[in-house]
Amino acid sequence: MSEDARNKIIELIEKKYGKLIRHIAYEIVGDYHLTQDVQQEVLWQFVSKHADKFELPPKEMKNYLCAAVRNTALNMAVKAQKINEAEQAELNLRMLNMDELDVMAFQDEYGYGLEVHELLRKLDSLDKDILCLRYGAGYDIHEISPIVGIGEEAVRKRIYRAKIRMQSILIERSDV
Amino acid sequence: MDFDVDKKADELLEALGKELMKSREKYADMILEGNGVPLYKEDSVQKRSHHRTFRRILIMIAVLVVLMGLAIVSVDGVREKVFNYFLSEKPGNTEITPLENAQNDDIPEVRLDYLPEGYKLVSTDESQNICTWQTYGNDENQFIEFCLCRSEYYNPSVDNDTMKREQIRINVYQAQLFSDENDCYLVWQAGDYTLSFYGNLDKKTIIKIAKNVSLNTQ
Repeated sequence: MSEDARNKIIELIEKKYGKLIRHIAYEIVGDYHLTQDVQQEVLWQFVSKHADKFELPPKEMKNYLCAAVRNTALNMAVKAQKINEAEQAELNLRMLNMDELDVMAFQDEYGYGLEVHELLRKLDSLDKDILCLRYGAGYDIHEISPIVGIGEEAVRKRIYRAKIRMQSILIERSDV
Repeated sequence: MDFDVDKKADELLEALGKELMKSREKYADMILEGNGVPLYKEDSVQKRSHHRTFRRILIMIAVLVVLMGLAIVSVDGVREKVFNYFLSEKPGNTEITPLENAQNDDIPEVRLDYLPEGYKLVSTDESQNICTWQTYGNDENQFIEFCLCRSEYYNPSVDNDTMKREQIRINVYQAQLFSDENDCYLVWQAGDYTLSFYGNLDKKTIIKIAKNVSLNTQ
C-alpha cells in the first residue's frame, strides 16, 4: 500500500471514529498529547497490520477500536510512566460501561444466565476484549495479539483459561 | 451430566462474545453521537478485587490475633501489661486478680494463704505507698519477712559470697532464690511490683509460702 493510500485511510478513520478513539484514550491517559500519540499508534497499527479490515462493517470496526484503543492507551500510559503495571492491572479489573450486558438474555436464550454472570465476574477487561474479538468477531489469535498488545501465547492462554472457567462453572452448577 | 460441557462452554463463550460486541457497538455509538459516557463505571472495581482485598485483610487480622494471643499467653510481662493481672496458681485452679491499684497510689493489700504451723503475724509496716512489710514469727524465734514494693523503689543487695543463687518459678513468674545453710531470700516481680521473702527456714517451705500469696482486692 502506498503512503498516500495509508494517509487517506487514516484520514477517513480519524474523521469517522476520531471522537471515539480520543474519548477512550483520554479517559485512560488523561493527557492531551499522549492521547494524540495513542490515536496515531492505533491508526498506524491499523493500516500497517490490518489494512484488510478497512472494509469491515461499522459495528466490527467499532468493536475493533474499543479493544485496540483501550489496550494501546494502557500500554502507552505504562511506557510513559503515567501509571505502573499494578495500576494497569487494577484498571483492567474496573468495570467498563462498554461491557454492560443483559445477563438475563443468556438465561432466556440458553438457560445459563447465572453461569455467564459468574464467569464475567472472573474475567478482566483484557479477557473480555479477547473473547469479544475471538468469539464475537471471529478473529484468529495472531490477529488478536497486536490489537490487545500481548503475545499470541498469552492470548491463547487467556482463551483457554476462560474456557476452563466456563466448563468448571457448568460442572459445579450441574452437580448442585 | 446430560450435556457436553465442552460444547456448551464454547456455545456460551460465543454468545458472550457476540453480546459483548453488541454492547461495545452501542457504547461507541453513544460516544460518536456526542454522549460523553465515561469509560469506567463509577466505583466499579470488580468484586473479585474487593474479595481479594477483604480476604487479605481478614488473613492479616487473623495472623495478628494469633501473634498477639501467643505473646499474651507466653510472655508474662506482656500479659501483665495487657491485662494487668496478678496470677496465683492454686491446686486445681489459677486465681487471676486485677492489679487495679497499680494505676493508683495505693499498694495492693496482700495475704499469705499458707503459713507453716506455728507462725503468726508479728508486725506490719508501710512506707508512703511504696512498700509494705509483714513479719511472721513462731515460738522458736524463727521468722519470715515478707515485702511488697513498687519495683522502681526496690533495690536490695545480697551477699553472694555466702548465699547460693537459683532461678526458679513462682507460679507463672520467674524468681531468684538465694540460700545458705540457715537462711533463704526469695524475690520475684509481678507487674509493677516486686515481692520478696526472707527467713530462716528451708527452701521448700519458703517456695510454698510464696506460691500462695494472694492479692486482697477488697
